[in-house]
Amino acid sequence: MHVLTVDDDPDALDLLEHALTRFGYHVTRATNGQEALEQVRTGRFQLVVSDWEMPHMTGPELCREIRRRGSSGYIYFILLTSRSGTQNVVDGLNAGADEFLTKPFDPYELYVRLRVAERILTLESRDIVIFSLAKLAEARDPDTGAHLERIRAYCYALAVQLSKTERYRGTIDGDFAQMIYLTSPLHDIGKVGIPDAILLKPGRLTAEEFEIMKQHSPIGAATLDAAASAYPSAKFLQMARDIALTHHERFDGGGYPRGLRGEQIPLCGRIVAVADVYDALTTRRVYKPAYSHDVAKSIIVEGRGSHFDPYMVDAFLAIEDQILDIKSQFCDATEQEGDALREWQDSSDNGVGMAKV
Amino acid sequence: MNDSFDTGAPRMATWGATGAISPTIFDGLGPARSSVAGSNRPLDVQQLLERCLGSRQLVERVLNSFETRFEPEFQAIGAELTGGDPEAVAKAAHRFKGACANAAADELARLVAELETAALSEHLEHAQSVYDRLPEAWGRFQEASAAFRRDARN
Ligand SMILES: [Fe+2]
Repeated sequence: MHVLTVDDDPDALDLLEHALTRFGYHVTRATNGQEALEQVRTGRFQLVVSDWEMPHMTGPELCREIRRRGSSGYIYFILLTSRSGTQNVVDGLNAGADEFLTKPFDPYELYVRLRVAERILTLESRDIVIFSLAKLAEARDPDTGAHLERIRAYCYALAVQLSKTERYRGTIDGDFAQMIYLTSPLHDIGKVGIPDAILLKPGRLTAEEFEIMKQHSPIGAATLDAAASAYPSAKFLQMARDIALTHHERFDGGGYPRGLRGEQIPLCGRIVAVADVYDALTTRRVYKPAYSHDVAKSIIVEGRGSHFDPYMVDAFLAIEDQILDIKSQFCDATEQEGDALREWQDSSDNGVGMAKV
Repeated sequence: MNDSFDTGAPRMATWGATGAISPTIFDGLGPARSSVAGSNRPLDVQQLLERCLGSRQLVERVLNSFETRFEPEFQAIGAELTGGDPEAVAKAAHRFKGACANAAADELARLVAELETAALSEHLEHAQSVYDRLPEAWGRFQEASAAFRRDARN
């Protein structure tokens, strides 16, 4: 990783450069704010370590200017300071600095701060990439609105609720909840492989079309599986693959693509199944109006033990208020309530599977 | 499990960092690092060595560079004191303080910090008296610096 160091004192720059190079970074030096801005414009730097007091442009002024100009990616800004006191920290934070380091620096502290910076930058890039991918898939499906935002919030809330239960206390922790929040938006990534004629078809799908539509699960899983194999340490890709593959499986074995049953279906897939169906039911789609929460809830409850894992349904009921909050927080502008029950009853002959959830 | 994770909005996950840089860089430097500018020694060699990650060569380079800086910085502060502008004195002192701290010249750094504070509170007389003590402290720094070089050669 390239680091830009900024200090008007060449000796301070020498020391910093030596340490950073030993830590494995590529270092570029700037002796004033103007030079630093020119370097930042090259787009090579995600990490800046700058002195506070410098002639012409101070460290906070430099930071503020970098933030004002914006850049293609986030630039993590560490301010070196011999100053102390809360006001100075507040000044630095107001300027947009991410971290402070006392000058002259302690190399161990510098090392730790840089690791944190790298981790944050990596996570930020990863989160953006994941959500962008999901958005790409969603962009082809204009009916879904804030679907992804709701799905991940429902999944997170369900995971947290489950983690409080005797059964899942040992299985679901904060990391699991974070990971499902991160990866659940990728559940329909395979839709990029479905022809527009089917994906965008208003009205219900024929049996043949529905067979093609079902392919979005294995297509998404195969894509994510390739990424998971290339990056085996990226656990989130494995969860993302499991979700893409199994979010249409049913607890009784009647789902697709594999007809898995019960706990053969990964936990993340069983959670997303509830969230995805609830969201499909409560939002308007080209082939159906939006059902009310009560109707959707009764359908979920009806599916307890058949479509859905009973524990997932119980968790859903336990956090009903939160579900409603999320639903209203990410409400689609175009959403309309209709005579939902009648619609649901009319369409139930074909089963929920025919709907493009 | 962390009981508090369920109370707020999802935060950034803490897994998935990039490949680790080996912290063995710090081996041999000792677990208890001397606090930065925490001593009143003319030269805190240990602290400087730590910052140079054990490189005696770099320590020597920093010392050489600092030794060329004392005279002009000392003169500059003197000129500002003669000029009588407290803000200008403080500014010159601040710059030199950074250089002293950088070279682990703790005693000088402390004196110059005192000079800076005196100037900021417009006590130029006190600033002058601190200024007059700088050459002695400088002499002690030079002795310590020479001792380090002798040790380095042996
Ligand atoms: Fe789906």
